[in-house]
Amino acid sequence: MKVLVKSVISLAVFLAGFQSNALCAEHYVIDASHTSIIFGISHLGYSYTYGRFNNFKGNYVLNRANPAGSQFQLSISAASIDTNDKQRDEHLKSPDFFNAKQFPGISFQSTGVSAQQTTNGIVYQVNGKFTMHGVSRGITLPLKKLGEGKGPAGDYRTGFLCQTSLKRSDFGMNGMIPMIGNDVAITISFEGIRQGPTDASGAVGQPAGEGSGSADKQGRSGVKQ
Amino acid sequence: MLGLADLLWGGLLPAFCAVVALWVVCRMTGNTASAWRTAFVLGYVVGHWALDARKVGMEEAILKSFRATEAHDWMPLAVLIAIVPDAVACVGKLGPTAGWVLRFLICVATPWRLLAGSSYLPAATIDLGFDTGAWSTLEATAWLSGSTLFLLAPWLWIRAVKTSESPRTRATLAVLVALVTAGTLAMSGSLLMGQLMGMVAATLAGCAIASSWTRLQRGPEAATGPLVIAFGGILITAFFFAALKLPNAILLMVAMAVAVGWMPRFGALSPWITIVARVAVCLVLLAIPITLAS
Repeated sequence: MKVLVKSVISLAVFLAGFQSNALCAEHYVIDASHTSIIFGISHLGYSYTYGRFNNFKGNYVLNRANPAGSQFQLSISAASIDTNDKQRDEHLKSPDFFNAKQFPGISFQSTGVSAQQTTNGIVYQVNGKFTMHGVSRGITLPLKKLGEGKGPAGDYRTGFLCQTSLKRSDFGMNGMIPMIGNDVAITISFEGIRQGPTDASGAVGQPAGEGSGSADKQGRSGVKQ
Repeated sequence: MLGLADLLWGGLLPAFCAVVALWVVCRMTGNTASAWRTAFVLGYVVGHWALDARKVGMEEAILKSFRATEAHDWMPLAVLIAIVPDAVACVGKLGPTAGWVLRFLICVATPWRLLAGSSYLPAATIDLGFDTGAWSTLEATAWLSGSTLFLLAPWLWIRAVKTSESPRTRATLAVLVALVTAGTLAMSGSLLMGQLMGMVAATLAGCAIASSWTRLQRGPEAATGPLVIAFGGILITAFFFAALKLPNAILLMVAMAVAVGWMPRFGALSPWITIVARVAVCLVLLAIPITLAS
């Protein structure tokens, strides 16, 4: 009987904790109008050429109480590359570089998240699987939370900045190295619109209470100081 | 754009391999057709691997042909397999029939293999949430049937040539067609495709030089299978994955068939008339795509 009572209590505690975590999880969809995916690459060592991707989709689950429960997912259409030069864009889509018809997507799926409070605010270290040019590798993206609050339409938004770099040769994209640089600087600035807190299955529930517009007033018990 | 190392690994090496292979096989077996086939396949495969090895190392370059991720990675294997029908055709009474069945199957399988897993024929697991231009069943059937015809028709055309008919001229024209095609591909948005076709040209040049040197009365038609699959496979890849225009792809394939394959005889006129006609038609066919691409 004692064992049964203990089990029931343990289960209740577990479920309470689980529900608490689930309630803290906020589901966001990336707002494409206020998101930029930009890259820069060396040209002959003389200058940097910058480009962007115009077609992408993404969403994330933010768990402030338990950052490890957060998730980030992003898909980019490789064919949407734009360097302000149509002929160059066609070349970049060819088998010399992205081979966009062979590998139409570039994607990132997080596998683990941790958060750190720095002097510049909260920085999420997002580990995940990055797939480009048909090659998947584990990378860590540093996501600095820039701010959050109500949008003009009354929706709730959070915004992040990610600045990192990668070697394109790590993804089998070896065309024209070293004339065109191997190191690619990447900047992703994105804004997400909250869809409502998620339940355990990730389904969207009722909208959460309106935030204050300041990161500091949100719970951050899971954030490392 | 084209460095010394590219010329060495993608030009001189395949040509040298082709020269040595043709001479050795010819000396050892006396089979001129086998010599051409072996030389072409060896030159192409070694050149392809050597070019890849500069980026990823030789071991990885060879392994890429067996667990390819990009369409052009399949080319060495496809070229190797294309040697099989001609070998089977020489065996027994049923050999010729089996040879044609295999040729047909290779022409069906090659475009499918090159396109499988791409945005045209995506794997079922890929769902990016974007319209990637995947074909419907009808579109896939139409494009794959067209691609099969694109390979099978020149295969038939080239095999119909009388083998003793000006083999040196045909070999030289084949090199010219491959060179112009390489230029067209490089100007059609992919230096890599141009480089691969340049390697075909170098391999053909090696075969032509060795064939002329050993006074063989055979031309590139002896390596029809590997030649059609290498040349056609690169054109298919460049059309679907780079920016090669469909009319240009067709004109270049017809140019190769005219350069190497059957030509009508002009009555009792001198054989030179046929040669001149072949060269003229070939040059006209090459002029159009190179002009359009530039």
